[in-house]
Amino acid sequence: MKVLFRNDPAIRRLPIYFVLSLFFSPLQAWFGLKMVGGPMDDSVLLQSLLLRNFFMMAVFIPWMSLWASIGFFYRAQPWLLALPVRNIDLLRSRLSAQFIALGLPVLTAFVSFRLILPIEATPWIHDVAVNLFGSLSCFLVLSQDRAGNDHRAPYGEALWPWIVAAITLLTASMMVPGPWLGLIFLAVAWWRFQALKKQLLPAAQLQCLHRRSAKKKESRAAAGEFRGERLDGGKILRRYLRRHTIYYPVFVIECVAILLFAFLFFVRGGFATHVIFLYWFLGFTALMGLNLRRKVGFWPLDPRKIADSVLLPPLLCFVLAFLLAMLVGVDRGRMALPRVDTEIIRVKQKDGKDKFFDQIVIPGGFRKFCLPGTVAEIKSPWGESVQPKVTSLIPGLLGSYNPYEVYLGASRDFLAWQGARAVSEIHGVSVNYKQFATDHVEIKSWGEARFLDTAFEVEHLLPKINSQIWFSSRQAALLAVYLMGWFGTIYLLWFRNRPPADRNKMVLYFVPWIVLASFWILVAWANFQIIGGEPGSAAAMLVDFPFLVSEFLFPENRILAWLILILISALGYRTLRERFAGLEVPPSGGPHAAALNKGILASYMKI
Amino acid sequence: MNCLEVRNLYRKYHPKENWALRGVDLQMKPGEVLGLLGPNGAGKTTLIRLLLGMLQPHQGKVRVFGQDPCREPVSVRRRMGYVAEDQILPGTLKVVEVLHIFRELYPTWDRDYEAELLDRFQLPLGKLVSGLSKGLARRLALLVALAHRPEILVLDEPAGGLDPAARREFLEIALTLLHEASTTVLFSSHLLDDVERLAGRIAFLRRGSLVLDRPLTEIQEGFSLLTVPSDSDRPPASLKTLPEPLSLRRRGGDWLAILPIAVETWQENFAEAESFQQAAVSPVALEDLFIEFVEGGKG
Repeated sequence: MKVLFRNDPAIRRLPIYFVLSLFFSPLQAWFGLKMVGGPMDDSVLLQSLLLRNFFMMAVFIPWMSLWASIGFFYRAQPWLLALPVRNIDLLRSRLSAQFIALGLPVLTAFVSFRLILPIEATPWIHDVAVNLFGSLSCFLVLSQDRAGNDHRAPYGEALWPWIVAAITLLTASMMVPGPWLGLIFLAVAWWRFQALKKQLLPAAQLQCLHRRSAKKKESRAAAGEFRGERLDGGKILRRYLRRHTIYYPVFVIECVAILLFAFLFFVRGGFATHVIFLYWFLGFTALMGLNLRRKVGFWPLDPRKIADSVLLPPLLCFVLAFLLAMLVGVDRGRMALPRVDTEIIRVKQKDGKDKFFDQIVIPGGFRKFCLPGTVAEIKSPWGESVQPKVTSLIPGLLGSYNPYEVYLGASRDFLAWQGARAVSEIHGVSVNYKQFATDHVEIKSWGEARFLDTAFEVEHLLPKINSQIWFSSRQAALLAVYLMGWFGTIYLLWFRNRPPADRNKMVLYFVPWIVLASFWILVAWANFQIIGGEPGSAAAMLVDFPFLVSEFLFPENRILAWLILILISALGYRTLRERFAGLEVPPSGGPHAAALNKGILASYMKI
Repeated sequence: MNCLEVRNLYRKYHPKENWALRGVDLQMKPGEVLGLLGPNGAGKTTLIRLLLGMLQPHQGKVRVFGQDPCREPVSVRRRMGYVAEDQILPGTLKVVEVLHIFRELYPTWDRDYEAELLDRFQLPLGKLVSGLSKGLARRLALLVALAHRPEILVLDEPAGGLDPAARREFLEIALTLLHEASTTVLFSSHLLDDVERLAGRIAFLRRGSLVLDRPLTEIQEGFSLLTVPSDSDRPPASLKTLPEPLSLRRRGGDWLAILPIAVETWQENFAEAESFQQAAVSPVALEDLFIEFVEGGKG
């Protein structure tokens, strides 16, 4: 039993897994810390939700990575079945190893959050830690508590109820106050484990751990001849392809996540996380493509058709998410339209008291780039001025600032002057600052000038603004930039499966990984800045950089812009399709396959 | 006209590795049965995958029915059948579903022939492919490779992993079916008995090169194994007077050479020579030839 436990993949990989946890937990806690000190402090509920989300990610990312590498649905490794070991010992050692592997990130996350975040910001942490551990433990046992073939619990389509259950359990464990839910889950896990023990056959040599699956096998064998005259080969083929693409559990989880995060983050006004999910798809799309190519590589089936079933679902999902975000953006006026917003800024005074003022927030693309230390004061015609705060983009080399910044204690005219300038510039309409002051600025009873609205939705500008929203040239440009990035990176990932004979060309293999790694660092940094309350520069990098680039390439005419988008998307898709058709099907196993699978793709293949 | 043609074919898997195939030339005429022999890693499966368009050549040309299998994979594969040891049939589908898929994929699928083969193979239609025994799975693979009446059948270690009885049965079925249909067959195997029983022509691959390509009868009759006793680490000088041996190696106190001449030719032309008084010559069985090729190629 001890030998089995020590040699379980979950235990053997525990050090790597621990390092992952040590990296992710403090990072997530640090994100949380930046948020606690940021402008979202006012929304206690949202802050609590986001902090819980960070906590869950700190647990979930290492756990998922372990899951991917060891396969949680294995009741036992196949070679163990030939050993003189009781089935119950096999399962007990497997489950206990997984419990340890599961408890470790919960513990690391708990300690990290406790040490890094102020206690008052995370009063819920004990409850969530217990609930999370309980629900995931319950999920582990339930996932094994099923009739299924030999050493592995059924997966694939049979996994669906368990995925739904996991999502429900996780959500519940994050939201419900008190640790009782986690304790109930642990009790259920224990109860089901006892039931599972009774279901196990005594010996592993029978090649079947589970009594019910043994019976099922017998009855299936006894069923004998099967008349399938009504079956449709085309339908079966399509179903088989779908099973490896859109029914692929990871893909569906990704789809749900991308749509959900697209919605949530566009509502919040960010874009970065959406992009992360988009690029997560790359690995899975490349994996699905390669897997399918291996499985049906010798069939007389046009590889371009297989490419359609691999590429279209994630592509449509992303476009759908984009359109959804666009729809939300119309309401929120964030991404779809360059809009001038205001944001309440808290300033701590020397006497310890907080003071608040309204800052003008503009889309990142309208921020000005500058060399650090070279920004002059912004001066109004009557001499009132502000020294804008420079956000560093490349430390010491490049920064950006908001040219419409205001300051605590600014006069009513100054607020109106900056607001009117911002609206005029960004919406392309002429606004008189005197009129703007009347419509949008008020003097509080204690004498401070504050904006009336959180966004300057000027009535007489609405028709013009609305006309800019739907299917604007900017949206087409943005979508085009991201789609090209997607096509290009998958192309490079698939390029790997045909190694060139020329040794010098090998260097090309490293390019996509360097590009992807750089992009991830950029995204992570931007995310951090968003969470840290500096959305301007993050937006400039991730949201508005494509805007800025594409403005040179895309015409103002929206119909033309969308036509160009459709054209370049079709070209990109066609190129990718042809690349897929050129993918090879090397012999499985052996030194050749090993040579081809070296590197990051090798880790994908293990999923 | 050749139904299969390979010219100066080169292929490697990794820039740092040796060529998996180097300069291979091979042609097959309709109705021919070619046994492809070679040790592990010689490039047999690579060659077969290149013929099916599953890999692309780095140099050289592959033509099947005059078409490039990489450019026209669908039309080429529709006229070919393929059974391999590591062949993946969808394990999540039932046998009957697999048959339905293949009916859809091959326009020339012969339902009557399928029924005949099903009857012969005794396949359980309602069973999942993943639940089939190795022998049954291989029969299913053979069924889907044959039921569309392919013009070329490619068998890549088709009986690998089967017990002797199952292997014999599998090959007998394949053989009977081939005789009935006069299909062109490319057959790769380590099991020389099988190859001898099936193939009319033998091609031998060693380290990616085709070192022998002759009719089986010519090999059985046209080669001899020469054993020359010698203590020297260098081959005896007298060997230079003989036709160039296909392989040459030292074993114990002897030098062994496979000569491209029949035993009778040896007796007539060389046996009397003084330098070969100690030498012994014997006919070469295919298995001996294989071993000599493998051992002789190690240097």
